[in-house]
Amino acid sequence: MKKRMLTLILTVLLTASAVLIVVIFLFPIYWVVLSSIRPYGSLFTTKFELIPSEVTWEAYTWLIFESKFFLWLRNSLIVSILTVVFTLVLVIPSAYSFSRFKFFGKEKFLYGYLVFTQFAGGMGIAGLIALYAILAYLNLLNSLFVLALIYAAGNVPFNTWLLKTYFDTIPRDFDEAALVDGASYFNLIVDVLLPIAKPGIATVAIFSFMGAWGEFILAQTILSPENYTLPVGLYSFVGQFETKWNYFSAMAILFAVPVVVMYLLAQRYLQMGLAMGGVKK
Amino acid sequence: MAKVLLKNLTKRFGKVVAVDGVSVEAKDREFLVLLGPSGCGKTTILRCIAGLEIPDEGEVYIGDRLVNDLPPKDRDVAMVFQSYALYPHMTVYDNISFPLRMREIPASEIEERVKKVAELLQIAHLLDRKPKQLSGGEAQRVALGRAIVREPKVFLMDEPLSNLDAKLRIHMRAELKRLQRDLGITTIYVTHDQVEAMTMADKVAVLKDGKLQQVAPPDKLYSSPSNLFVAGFIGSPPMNFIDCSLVLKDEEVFLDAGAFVLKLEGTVAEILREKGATKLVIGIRPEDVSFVNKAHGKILGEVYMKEPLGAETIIDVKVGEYLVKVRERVGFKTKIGDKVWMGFPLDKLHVFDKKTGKAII
Repeated sequence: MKKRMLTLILTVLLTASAVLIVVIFLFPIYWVVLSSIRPYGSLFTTKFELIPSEVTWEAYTWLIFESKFFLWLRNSLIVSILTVVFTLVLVIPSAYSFSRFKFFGKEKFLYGYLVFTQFAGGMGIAGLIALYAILAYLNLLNSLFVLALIYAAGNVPFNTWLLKTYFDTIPRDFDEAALVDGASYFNLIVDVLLPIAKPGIATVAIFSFMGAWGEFILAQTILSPENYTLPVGLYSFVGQFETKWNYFSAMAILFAVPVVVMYLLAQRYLQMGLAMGGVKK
Repeated sequence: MAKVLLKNLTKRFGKVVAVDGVSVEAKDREFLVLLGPSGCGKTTILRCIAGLEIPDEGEVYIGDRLVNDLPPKDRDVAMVFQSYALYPHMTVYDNISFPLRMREIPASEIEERVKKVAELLQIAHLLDRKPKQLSGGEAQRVALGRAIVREPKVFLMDEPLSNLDAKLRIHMRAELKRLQRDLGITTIYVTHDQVEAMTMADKVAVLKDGKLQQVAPPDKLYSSPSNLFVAGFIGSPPMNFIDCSLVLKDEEVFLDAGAFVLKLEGTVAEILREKGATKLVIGIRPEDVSFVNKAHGKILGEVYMKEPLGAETIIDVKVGEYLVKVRERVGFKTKIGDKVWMGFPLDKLHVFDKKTGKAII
């Protein structure tokens, strides 16, 4: 009986602390939601309201009907989807090669990938200035297409590693069975490996989508207003003398929605252990 | 339908020689088993035939065609993997039809052929399932189906039964053999299980450390092993081996094992005298040894352990430092600790050169 009591108390305590942690994490999000539906004026009162006394959809109607939200959304979607496409086109063949083929300098290339991205990251602002200079020289500034290419290039090293590791878990028997069955390498990859690697590919797609969706500095540097993406558009709300925090909050919410949707859609694949069952070990 | 011929096949992985100058032929319609312990190179040979490995030396012929430089898809072979390697995202139907789709065979013909194969293997009711919904035996049949549907020149099978439980394995052994005979397709089958090899093969190639030890039909392999390795590998319980030395006294020939001395006569004696090797190993199969009375006995020993198996009993008899296994069927009454005399016909005696391991008789 005593032991049971102890277990019960422990369960209650653990659950309570878990709930507390969730509340702490979710509170800022709740506050943003709150800010987006409260009238602009009430944001600056000193009164602390957990449940708003007055609710208005003004910020959302303004965003949808009067701001450039849909232009920015369109731009963001173009950049993010292009980034995903470019990333997959670059990453799938390289991850497959690194996973399956032996070639000269394979290990060095693989680690070089990582080292150089760290190196480039460390260059920071110098890299950004150099990139700006190059794009200006080549007359490629203000292009969503070019922005997506740059994002994709940045995604290659990490995601190649990620997908290579995933391919490594797919038994080679599948490759060999397909080759003996008469498949070309193209058929092998398209008909056999990619469907099996769906969870890995979904992960890469999500990472690259989110990276492009949320990137601000580079987009701000090279894009002009008609090509602004959502983060850059969001920043334009921050005025020199006044910031409309209710608009800002409403847009922050709308900005986050596609990401959540993406996660929900991909969750199925992320959890699927597709490679199980076909091969007996 | 075609023969498969390997000439002096050699494959190295770095410094390791996986396959060392193997030459063997599987005749048209023949069931050839590559048998050996793990790491003996048997799977590598199979993969060289499939085109999944490129040999460093030697030639692989399928039919009369040299296929060394052909990619797997152009060799017209079908392979069944130990893991089955069924594509997990495809249904059974799509798995079986995959090789046909890759060859761009018209859809109507594909359907007809898949159905025919599914009926032959009794898996017609499984066609809509995914591999993970299949039992081991069902998955095995689907893997076979995927190989059969192409009607290839050669079947290559890499331990296809090793993932099945014992009962199903024995069942599939017979079924597979029957299927191969009915289809009349040359088959090369890799296994480490000597019972599988003996029961299924028309011809067995025994391998060790990448080298071919002996190629022979199962009965020949059993009755006349060409060296100590083959003799010890084939048969369960294995052949009894006892070290001994050759003693020539006047005109007579003796084998001295320390615990006993055997007097040899006739051609056996002649051959040993001619060969002249003094360090020898004699081998005798457990079923060739029988318990006899003292007058006919050749070896005296003490019963050490009894293993009753129902139809027969394996009796371990201690002779000097050796344990001699005797397969006993007639119901000879004995108990542990008894002194027993054993005898065997001289023509069942195998004699090997201890240094080279080669069979002399």
